[in-house]
Amino acid sequence: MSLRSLRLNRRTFLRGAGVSISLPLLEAMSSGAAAATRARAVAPKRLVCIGTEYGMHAPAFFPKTTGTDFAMPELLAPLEKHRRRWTIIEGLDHRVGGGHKGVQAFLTGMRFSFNRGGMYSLDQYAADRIGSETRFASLPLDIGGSNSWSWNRYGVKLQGIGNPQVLFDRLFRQTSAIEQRRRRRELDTRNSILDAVLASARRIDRELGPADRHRFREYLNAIDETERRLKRAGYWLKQPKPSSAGSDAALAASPRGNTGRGDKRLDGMRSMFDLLALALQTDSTRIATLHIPGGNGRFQIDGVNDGYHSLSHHGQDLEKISQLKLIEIEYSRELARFIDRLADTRDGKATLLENTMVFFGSGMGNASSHSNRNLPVLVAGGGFQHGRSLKYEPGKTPLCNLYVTMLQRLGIETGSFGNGTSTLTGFA
Amino acid sequence: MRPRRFILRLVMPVVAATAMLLAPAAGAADPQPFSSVRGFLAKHCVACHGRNKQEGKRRFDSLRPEFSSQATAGTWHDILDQLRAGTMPPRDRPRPDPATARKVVDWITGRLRASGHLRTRPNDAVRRLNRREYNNTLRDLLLIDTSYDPAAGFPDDDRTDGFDTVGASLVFSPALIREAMRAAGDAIDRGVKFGPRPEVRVQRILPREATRPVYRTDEYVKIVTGTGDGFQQFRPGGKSAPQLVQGEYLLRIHATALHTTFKGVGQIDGPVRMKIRVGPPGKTAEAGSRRTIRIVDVPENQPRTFTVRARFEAGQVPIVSFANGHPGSFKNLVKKRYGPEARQNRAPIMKAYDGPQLRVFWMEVEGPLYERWPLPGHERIFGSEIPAEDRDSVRSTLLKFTTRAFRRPVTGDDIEPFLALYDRLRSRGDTFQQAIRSTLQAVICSPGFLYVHTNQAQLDDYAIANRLSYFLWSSMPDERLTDLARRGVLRRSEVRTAEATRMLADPRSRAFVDSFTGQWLELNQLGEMPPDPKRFRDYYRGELESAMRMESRRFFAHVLDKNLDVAHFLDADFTFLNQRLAEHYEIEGVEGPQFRRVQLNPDTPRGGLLGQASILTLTSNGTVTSPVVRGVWVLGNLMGSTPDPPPAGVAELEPDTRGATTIRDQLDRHRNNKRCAVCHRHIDPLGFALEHFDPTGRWRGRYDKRQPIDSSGVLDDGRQVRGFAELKRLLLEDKDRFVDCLVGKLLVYATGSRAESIDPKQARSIVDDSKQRGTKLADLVRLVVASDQFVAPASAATATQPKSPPASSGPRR
Repeated sequence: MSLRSLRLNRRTFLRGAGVSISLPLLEAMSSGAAAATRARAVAPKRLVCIGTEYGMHAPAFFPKTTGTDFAMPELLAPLEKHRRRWTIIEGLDHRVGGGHKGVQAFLTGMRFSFNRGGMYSLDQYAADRIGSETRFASLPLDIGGSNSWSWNRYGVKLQGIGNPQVLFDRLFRQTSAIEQRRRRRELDTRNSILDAVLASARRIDRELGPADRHRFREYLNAIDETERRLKRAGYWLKQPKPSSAGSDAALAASPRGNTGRGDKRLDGMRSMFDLLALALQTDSTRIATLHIPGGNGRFQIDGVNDGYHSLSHHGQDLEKISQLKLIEIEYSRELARFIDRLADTRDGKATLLENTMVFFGSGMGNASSHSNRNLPVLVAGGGFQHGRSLKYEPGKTPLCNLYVTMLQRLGIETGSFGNGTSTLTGFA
Repeated sequence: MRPRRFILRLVMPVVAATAMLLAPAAGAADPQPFSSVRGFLAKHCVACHGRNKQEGKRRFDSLRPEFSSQATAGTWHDILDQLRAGTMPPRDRPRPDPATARKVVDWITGRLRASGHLRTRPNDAVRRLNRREYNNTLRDLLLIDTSYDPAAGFPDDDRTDGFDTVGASLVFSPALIREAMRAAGDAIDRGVKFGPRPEVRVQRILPREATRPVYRTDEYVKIVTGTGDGFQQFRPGGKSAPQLVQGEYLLRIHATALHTTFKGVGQIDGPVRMKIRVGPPGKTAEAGSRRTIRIVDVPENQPRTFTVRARFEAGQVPIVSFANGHPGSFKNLVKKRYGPEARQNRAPIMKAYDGPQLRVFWMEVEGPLYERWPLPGHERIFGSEIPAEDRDSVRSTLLKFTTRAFRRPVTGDDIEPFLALYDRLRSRGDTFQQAIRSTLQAVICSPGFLYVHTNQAQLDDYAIANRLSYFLWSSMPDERLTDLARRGVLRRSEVRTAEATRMLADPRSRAFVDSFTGQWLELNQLGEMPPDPKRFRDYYRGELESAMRMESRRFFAHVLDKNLDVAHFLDADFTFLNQRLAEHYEIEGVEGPQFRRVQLNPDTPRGGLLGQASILTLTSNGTVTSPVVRGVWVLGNLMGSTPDPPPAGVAELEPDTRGATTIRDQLDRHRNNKRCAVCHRHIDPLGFALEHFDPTGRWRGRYDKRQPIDSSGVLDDGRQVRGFAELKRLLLEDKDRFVDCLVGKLLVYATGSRAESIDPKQARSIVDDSKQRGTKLADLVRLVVASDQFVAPASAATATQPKSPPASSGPRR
């Protein structure tokens, strides 16, 4: 049975059962190639979200004045050269507390609790709507580990890719013919198994009462969606991956040992940023997140001789604060480098930066006092008007309003996200 | 607010609730002429299901009161189903008047029944196996060891009315399908292996294969500190590490200890203890990826070989460490012993180290070991000969397997989809082994396996067998139960009672003990909010938390196994302790890590559930006690009335660990504010009576130097409680209430029905029957199993249960 006729049978069956179902969101299936070409004709928008676990030291991060002529704060010095490429925003938060637990709210606007449901991050929300056109609906990345800021629509946290070599392989290593055959065969097996399972399920469905049937729908929908995913995987299996020739991809991916460790952390960050830029450039994905881990590793920076966690919980000790800033300014440096690189890459008629929103922030406002208020927010690219410092009254404006703005910029029609109920007034 | 909308807001929840309760009046004549039914449809349905719109392809404007044709009767039945379930009219539409709606329901039901088209299809009739049931069923179906937790990747199960056996919360998602497929394939691979028995290999691991950095010579690996993770362990890595396939192995370790009696920095208490684990070869390992097999005492200066049997997953290696060594790095040890400058010079210190140490000379891994070949699960499916590959044999194998997997009789039609799968895979080139493997995998991914079915109007014998075995064993029925089902005798209550006795005596009933206590007593929550390590450092010593859990389980098991009066849960003169827990309770004379029954002195507060540290700890929040949480626990789990959650907008209490105000002062508002008092006058006094137990269940005389404890209170019925002993006494006075509560919980857990659907009359009659014999626990379980509720379909709506099942079962459909 070909996959195509299978799909028709599924729809007929489901409709025939006489219950209306909300079909999953990823609609674009079989015409992946056509859709991709269509999309590229109109330069697509991208979104990159970068988050730290411990925030940024606010007095050195936020400018003292708003507007366009603000004096460059200490931590933003590396970004000064192209200050017109970005905007810094003060006073936003997610209205959640919880200290380190509240950091998980970074892209979801919701605090994590063990009750099911609710956590659905900005990047996954976007990926569910526009991600089907690229090989990777989204790329959650980490540095050295497998953590991420991404929660899918079932409230399940995704694993991030933290190993540069692994990321390189996913992006560029062509699947050999043998492996393709093997994988295709495996997809075929799984599809066939699902067919059998579904046929078996039909017999049971007939015997159920209405409320049970309603719940059984879940089971059937789950199979439906799994089949779509397999189909998608089958499609992309056939597509050749972009070439990495002539790029620094291989260099970026070269093994550096465990980049999760403090002393390798900055190396790892550089690798991930470089590979991410390439991923965007080759349209391998349009949605990505980068998790910058915490931990108490010691960074290889002159003048830093204590662990990151320990410094971030400085308790107002001046020596610790100055060492913390030595670390955080490296983040800014890497961010500046990334932004500049996107600005120097052509993308259709514009630059990659103009078509990519780069959002740098954190779910932690002050790691020393464990406050989740006054979160660091820096937005670059995306075609917005930049070069300004904005300040909102603390506690009055949800950060999720910015997320609404960004979602709309991606072409997604929505007026709300998380606890945000409008776009961010005064921005863009 | 406009009056109409106001009324609607008030009426809507009531109507919705009423709609759920609409049950057809038995044998009602149709007092309602069709014209008013038609009027009802015109008012509430036809707008979306009429001439202009046909939502869901349904149209009612020209529906005739005609019940002999299948099609029309079917449409009427759909209307009936939707009205009864309350799903129609949709929530955002005006609500029908409940009396009229009921009349319509009665009319349709009467007509359908008269014409023979009434299908009583209950809801909540299928429920997915939860994770532990899934694991156990795979274990018993494929005869494999499931301690590797096949369902580990499944999303967590939710609970309804406190239990994970109620279908309402057992949902499905694509993540679960994916995981189920993966787990199914993996489980089949462990239970079904074709070909000749694999050779047993012996692989020796030498010191040079230990991953750096750990000190080693050509002859031994020397381990001097106790940090289990980090580098002080013997763990093979790199290319020469043994590549093991998944299976059971014998692991031999040749080791000795030195300088056990050394005194000074790094000294140990007692002998050197060697921890033997299994885990991944790499340095960085995820939390929980290493599994402890055993901890052994290593004699001084007498090298000997220790042998253990262990399961290895593919790619895992043995890992050996010094369990009771210095709790810090070697660098730390050197600094403490010789001063900070000595840290630069660690190498010679390590070489000549004179403190306690473990020396491992070699390790050996022998396997994979199979007690039988072919594997028992394989043999069960294919027999002991090489399986025939002709289609008829395949068909018959599939039929047998699917019957066992679905746990009820299965027809040729039922296995058609799986045969079709097999055919398809063979025709694309798969071998017999590949194709049959995928086919078996498909069978255990399908709803017939994943769901427990109780969807007939009267449960048939197979459904009863399933319910029995998932109740008392959390797994599939065994041969005997299946045989009784085949003979059609499980519908007889005396047969069920006898089976319950047999099943309780079977070791598989420990699954009932663990999972029921885990949920009823909420033991599964223990460890969710661990006590503050700074203030309760002692909690983390000596595996106190597991000991707490074990006490409650052992106690429940004892009451069950010895069939004791359930009043023991309220107060008892004994409990189960090991040395660590006895220390925690300040009870003397208990030595050793094993648990044993301990008679309690009358002056100890222990005895009964409320004196158990497990419950007292899980009802605290890690830093301070919470009388509210404890009160809610008592109310919900012992007295059968779970209070509603607090209204929105009530801020959480800031724990005041400075002790300036007591918790009683902070909760004062509950007494003084009428809105709060409505619920809190029931809750708080129960919790206050427990205030002498700190957040880890230790007894305390005072909060601290400044604050004494006031554990008095007044119950909602006016009785005074002057403390813990009095609370126990008052609960015992109200023993009936407790038995009611426990029976209710057992019924929910056993039948998967919602609490609101348990027939109160049946519950009461179980309690009354048990009172005649002393309200003993095993008797209660037997009475539950013998009851009519036990053989009635699980239900979300209250319905009058039939008095007894019919004498013969009709065709299963």
